[in-house]
Amino acid sequence: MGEQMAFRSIQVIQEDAVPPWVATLMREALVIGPRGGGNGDFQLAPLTSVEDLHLDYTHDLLPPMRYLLPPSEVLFRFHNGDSLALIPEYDERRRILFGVRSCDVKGIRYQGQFFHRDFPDIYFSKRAANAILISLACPTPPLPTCFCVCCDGGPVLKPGEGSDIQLTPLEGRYLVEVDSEAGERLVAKTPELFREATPADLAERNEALAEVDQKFSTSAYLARGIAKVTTDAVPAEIWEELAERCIGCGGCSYLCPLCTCFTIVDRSRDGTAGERVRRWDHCQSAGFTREASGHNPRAQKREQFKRRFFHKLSYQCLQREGRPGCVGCGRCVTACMMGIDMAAVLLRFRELGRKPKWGPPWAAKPKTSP
Amino acid sequence: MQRILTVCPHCSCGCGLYVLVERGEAVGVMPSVGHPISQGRLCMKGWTSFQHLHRAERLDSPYIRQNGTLKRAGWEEALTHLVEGLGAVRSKDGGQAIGVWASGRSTDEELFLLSRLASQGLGTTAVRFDPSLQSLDHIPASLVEGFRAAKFDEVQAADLLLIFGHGFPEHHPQVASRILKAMDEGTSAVVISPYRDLLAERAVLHLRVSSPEEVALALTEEEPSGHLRALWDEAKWPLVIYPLKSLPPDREARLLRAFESLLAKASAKVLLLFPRANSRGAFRWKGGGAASEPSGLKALLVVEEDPAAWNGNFRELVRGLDFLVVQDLFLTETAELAHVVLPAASFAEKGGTLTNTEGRQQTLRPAILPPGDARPGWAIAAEMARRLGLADVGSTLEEIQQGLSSGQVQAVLPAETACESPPERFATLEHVPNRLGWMWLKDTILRHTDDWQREHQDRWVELHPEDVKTLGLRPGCMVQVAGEGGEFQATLRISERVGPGVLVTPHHLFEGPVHIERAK
Repeated sequence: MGEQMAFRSIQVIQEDAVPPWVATLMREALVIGPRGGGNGDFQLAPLTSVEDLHLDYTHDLLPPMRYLLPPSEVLFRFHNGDSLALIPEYDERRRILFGVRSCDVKGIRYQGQFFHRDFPDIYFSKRAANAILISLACPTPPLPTCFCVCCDGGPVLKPGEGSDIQLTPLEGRYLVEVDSEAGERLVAKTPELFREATPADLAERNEALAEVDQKFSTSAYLARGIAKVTTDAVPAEIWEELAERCIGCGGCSYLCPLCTCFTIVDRSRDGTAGERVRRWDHCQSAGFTREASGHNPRAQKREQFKRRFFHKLSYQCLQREGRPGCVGCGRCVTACMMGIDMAAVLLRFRELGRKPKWGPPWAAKPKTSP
Repeated sequence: MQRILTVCPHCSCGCGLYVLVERGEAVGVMPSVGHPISQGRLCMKGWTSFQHLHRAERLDSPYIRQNGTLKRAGWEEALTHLVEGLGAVRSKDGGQAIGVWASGRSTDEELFLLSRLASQGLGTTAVRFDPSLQSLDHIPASLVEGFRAAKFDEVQAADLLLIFGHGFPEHHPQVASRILKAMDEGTSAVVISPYRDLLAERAVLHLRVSSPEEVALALTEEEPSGHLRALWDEAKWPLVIYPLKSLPPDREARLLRAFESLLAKASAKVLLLFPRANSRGAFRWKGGGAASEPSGLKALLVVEEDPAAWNGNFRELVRGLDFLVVQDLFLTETAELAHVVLPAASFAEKGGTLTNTEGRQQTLRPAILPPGDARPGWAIAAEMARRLGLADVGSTLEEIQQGLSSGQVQAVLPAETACESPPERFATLEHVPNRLGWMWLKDTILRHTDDWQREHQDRWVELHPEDVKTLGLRPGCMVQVAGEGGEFQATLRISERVGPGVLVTPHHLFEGPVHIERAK
């Protein structure tokens, strides 16, 4: 894929034409777009009016894929009268995710791959089938924690990479690259708001993106990390050293656009009626892998920690998913209290055999009084 | 999916978090990035703080005891029963026989109303705000308020951290995070604790002692001696950090007095960490007034605490009462013994304010509706107060807050009640409560949180290899542990993180020394 493909059309919309366009989209479906959430937090949330729209946003700490795989959802309700009745609950609301960052589009597509393989997940599929993605490319990395450029996560999408429409901010206007039939329909609703892109528009886009690689302040040494993890070249004591800091909060997984794990809980007062709920879960807890017998293949913190990075970085992941298990969105960098996020861990791998970045802990043993 | 910004109900760090709401249900939470405490981060307690909200066993109706069993009742019936029951005790034994215990996560408004209810409605001073703090009056205000009391951000600014205690990543994760970051960046830290944890391993000096108060006192002596004293004297901006309730009250009082002396060094600051979400609020509400007799309680109103689950002494105390009212989210062990049970709204279902350990007063916002007939704590307290003869308490949260700010509060001293540590029965090992148990065994909310049930199924104790050898035990075997307040069986873990002669258990299972033997 990739090279041969091209966008269906490339157009331009003026900045002041965006609100009227969004207004028409809001008549079409539930539009989930960037809003100022107060307290300095941006969020991708349902728009109630075009005034809510903040296209100058950074990102939402909650990845938009959580609209397709919510933190928790009722799968079905049950009651056990004369016979057992299971009443599934599907969410088939039409949604337009507007202004999603490139890394998050890749995240959503990765989730789609995962939930359609082996055992197609009807809950995810129904939401995904009804979701249209209008993405927003990043000529400037929105946050200092971003490192998509190291992970094939962004900052801009090529044709066929999963966005229905990609917007790229230019001076006073947006470049509109249409990449699907659904995207074409949304543009065709209000043709008067768009015009064909000119070579000058494309040149401005190319210029804006030419230097973008230099603008990232977080580096992640992904290729090296993949090699080291795959060949098991990371010594056990390094895993130990990193894992020791982990407090098992789960934030890195809950907020990771590529994490797919969930658990199931039943809620019932007396067992005759109730609901089955699926809820986000994470691999940095012992209960995640504990088996019914009580045996736990990954009872130790270092095993859980190693598993997370093996899952995301090993060549197996690359082979299975067609990409590494990280898009460089930087959410774990924000969420990790103890400084052992993806970028920090990759940096530590790079420095194997060198003095670690963190001091003074590992080099000198502390003095413990007798 | 809607997001309602509110405050985490767990420790006193006071993280700002959003409750994620979908069709009226709380489906998750996430941290606020802009909030000065959370900064986009939560711990496991924070991330799972929505899991108890929709549990099927949430109390959704008042209950009253009839012929020995609890029966569902309406509010009118339950409150009538409550007023009669408390009235009977009051006329027989006097108001002072009635205790009022509020939770460490009760809001400022709830504490205010309960203090008025106690002093004016019931005529008692037997009030305990945040009973997890055995006592509040030995905490000098100078260490909590004023400019010598540090804020979290000052951890980064200090050049020497003097850390008394262990388990920070569990009990105050946001502080642990800031300490670790400072240490990564080269700040020297000294850890004074019997347990060698993550921070102790990275400290320039780890004093594995069991009397931290002696270490602090030694620092204030005139004749300088020792490595620690040299570090202290050299430091320009030293910061002392101590999580309250790590020591029994009398020893803690000594430690805190030593801290006051340490502040003779003009640039030194202290960061005291209160245990629960609103323990600092509880501290603020204490005032003058006479202490009650510790014994002689005949009736008790318990708000969102479960004393019967704490230890045997409290269980006995609760069992021996003539009248017990429990207000909670769940039918706790204590509630099962109650004469009246009142269903309360959770943190995500009510308004009010919580004061974090730095003194930041933060607003709780209702994100969802409480289940069934459950009501917010402030509404329950206001209604109880009204029925006990206080006409002017107000009926909306705003009216109550107006009363609160106009200083209507009658100061009440949180009094010591029974359950002091009795004389030593066992003296085999020193007991160190490792807070790794995350207060799990005593925390009603965590006990009803799915992930906590899953992660902390095991009861365990930790011993030094030498002791294991001396006692003839094997790692992994079950041992019987007995101490003040009860006994239980646990799996034995072996660890050099503990010193010889010390037994580590999940948070505060016992008071005082413990005795250990192989399980029967």
